[in-house]
Amino acid sequence: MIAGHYGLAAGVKSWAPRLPLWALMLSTFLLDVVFIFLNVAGIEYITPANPALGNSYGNALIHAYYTHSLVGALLIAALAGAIATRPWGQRGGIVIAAVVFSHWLLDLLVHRPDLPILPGNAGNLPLLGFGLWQFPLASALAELALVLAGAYLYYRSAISLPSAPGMSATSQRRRALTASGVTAALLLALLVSDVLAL
Amino acid sequence: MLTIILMLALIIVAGWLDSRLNWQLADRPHQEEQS
Repeated sequence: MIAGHYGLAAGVKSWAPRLPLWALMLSTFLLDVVFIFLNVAGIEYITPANPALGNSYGNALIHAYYTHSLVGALLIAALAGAIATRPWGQRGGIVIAAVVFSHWLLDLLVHRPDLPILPGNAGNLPLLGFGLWQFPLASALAELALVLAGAYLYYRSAISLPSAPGMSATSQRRRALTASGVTAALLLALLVSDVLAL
Repeated sequence: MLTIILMLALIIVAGWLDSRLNWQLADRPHQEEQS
């Protein structure tokens, strides 16, 4: 899941309008950003669930035993929230932390059981994952729902913003439509690109 | 590769367009506290 994470971030903007969209977008994908560094270091990696299907949509087992463990995700979310508190206040920090952790919850829905509870899969506890990726069409539709809901919520909030002093209502509306339209188009393009493994 | 480009575009382009809106004027019950 990629586009679904971003769709959720766009939707959160309607509830936390003073948080920049870029920060919400980065937060929703922060676990994977950290994963990239550990992947380069050879600590975490991805293998195909079915080698015959290559890198097709959802055909992945993610061996991310630190960034995508339940406790690891909570720690990264708490750290990001603490950092976000400085520019955006306590409530902003809580929202950022929640958005970071939402990544793990959405991954729990789609991943095959490959998400550990403790970092490094300490204790060899059962791996978690409801496996929606085994049904690519259902998974893609779930992502589409997140994208459409997020894009709509963002549009609804943006279009209802009042004009700033010195700016005409027409100009404000044009900016809101442009931001909403481009965000929605990029979200849909991202979903198509991910599903087609481009 | 296209997927990665689109992910970066969302953060950079959509983020920039978002920053041009007057979100500080948004009237919502759950606004962030400014430090």
